[in-house]
Amino acid sequence: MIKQRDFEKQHQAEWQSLEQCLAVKGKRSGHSHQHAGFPDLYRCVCQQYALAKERNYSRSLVNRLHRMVELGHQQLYESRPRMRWQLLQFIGRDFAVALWDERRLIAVSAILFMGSLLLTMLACRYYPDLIFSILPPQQVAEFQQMYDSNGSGSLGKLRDADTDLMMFGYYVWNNVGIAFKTFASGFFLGIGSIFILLTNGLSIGAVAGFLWQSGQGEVFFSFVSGHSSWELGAIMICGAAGLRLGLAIVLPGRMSRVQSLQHHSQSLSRLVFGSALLLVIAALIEAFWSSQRGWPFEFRMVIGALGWLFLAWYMLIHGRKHSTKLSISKVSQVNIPLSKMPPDDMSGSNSGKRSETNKNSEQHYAG
Amino acid sequence: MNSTRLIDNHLPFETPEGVVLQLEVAGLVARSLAFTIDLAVRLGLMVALSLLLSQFGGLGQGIMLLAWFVLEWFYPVLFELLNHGATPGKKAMGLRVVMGNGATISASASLVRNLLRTADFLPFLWLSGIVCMLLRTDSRRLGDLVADTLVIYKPAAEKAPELPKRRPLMPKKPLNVEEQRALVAFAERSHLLSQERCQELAAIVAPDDMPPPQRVEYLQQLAAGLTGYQVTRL
Repeated sequence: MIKQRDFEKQHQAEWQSLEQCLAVKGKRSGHSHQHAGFPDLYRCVCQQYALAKERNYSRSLVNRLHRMVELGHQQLYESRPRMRWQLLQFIGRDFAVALWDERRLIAVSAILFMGSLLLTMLACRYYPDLIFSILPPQQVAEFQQMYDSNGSGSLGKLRDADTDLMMFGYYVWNNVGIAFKTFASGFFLGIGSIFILLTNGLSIGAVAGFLWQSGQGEVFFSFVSGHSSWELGAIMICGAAGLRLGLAIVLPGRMSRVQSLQHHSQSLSRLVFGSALLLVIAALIEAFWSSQRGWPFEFRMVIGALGWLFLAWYMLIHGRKHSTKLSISKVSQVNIPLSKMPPDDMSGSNSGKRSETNKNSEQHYAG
Repeated sequence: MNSTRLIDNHLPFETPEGVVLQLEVAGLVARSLAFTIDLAVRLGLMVALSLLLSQFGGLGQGIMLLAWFVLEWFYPVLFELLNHGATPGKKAMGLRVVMGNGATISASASLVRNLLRTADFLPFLWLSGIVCMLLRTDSRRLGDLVADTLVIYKPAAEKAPELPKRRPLMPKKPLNVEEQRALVAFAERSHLLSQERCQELAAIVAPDDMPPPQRVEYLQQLAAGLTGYQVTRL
């Protein structure tokens, strides 16, 4: 058994070079990885840390080694994604796959949202008084003024680029915020998401039906058709993500509730991040194209329909194709999660227990 | 470090190398303070941007709304990914966010844990998050649970304590591990304590027939013997 002092002397050089490696404030390029010997050095120090603990060297030495191991562990197992490539891959493949894999919940979300939207729209089309039981009268008046076809409203007349940009900022801030909240409120058994989907469907449908009935339908539909697919699609996807969050808690299957949440975490982040991208596209279209004037009504409707068709293709055909590809390549991979250690398990931290059974065998000196 | 399960904020975790790391989990108060600092930073940025951009009409307003959106939702995400898991508030409190296995936080985990702040806020004033943190030993909030992340204290560098230089001595009878540790720890910390306190502590274990100043020295000599520090003869 080596005395602490000799042990320190023996390994001092290694510790100093590892501490230097760790002290390099590498940005995410990770300087420590360019240092070829880092992994070897780190593993040696891991072993010395275990030894120091086992031999009951002084607390300060054990703490110093523990700190090195903790920082080294973080650096060695750091995941450093190449952002740009990842974003392209995300748009080209991952988002589509996530959509296809959650197709059932997206269908549920679509039925909730579009169902309530279309029903309310038809109801308000034939019973216009209904709208006053859904929205306050001032808001109804505002919408009427906004889509005024005589050109006195704020739509359908020439805006300057300045206002377009302002509206773009507003759409992103408002809509992405709503989408994120739709997702997060699903944590409470999915009820929050269902609530937001239904209330948004109701109010949008009510406005559409009311304007349609009062003869402003053409102005309204030609304005919203261009960005409708992107915006409504994103809300539905976020609703589906919220439902998944709730389902993971209500029906965890053969996992614990926390495990089942963590199991879905990555696909959830993909769905929500993808929705944010869709909403940015929607805001671009809404601010710079929908507000343009001078395009025939039919052409605008065609552009709107193309958006819906593209989303359907992206999810149902593109997503399905890549999903099957991925699942075939994943069959051969086995995932072994690292288990968390219970505190009193067989491990190097156990000198306390052993010392009680044979107290005199753990002397620092040859007694 | 003992095997008995104490109420503390250490979370044992075994690395692939087979050594056990003790991650020091941050509790509710430290995290609330970090959050408050971040809130102040964000509000400051928003006010500054509003003052600056209000000069530029509609264009300025558009950029301002975009900046608000980014600050509201992506401020923590950006800092966690680009600044080794620490927002300015966390950095000031000496905290950082890591994955549940102690590794650096991934992009998707950071996104999920920060989007779910909305769920942690409900029904009002972060009640869900606070209750969740208080109920768990690893003090995670809802967002941490889903993303599998932990907020821990950054391991602080300690200055290696100097053992006082003494002639090494061997104890008359074998000491067990706990006793050895206590002696070494006493010697390491004796320069931080006042002389009277040292003597008071030494009186507990040192033989009664020694004068008090000698007792401290005697214990330091034993510690030097245990750790194997050689000293040149004075």
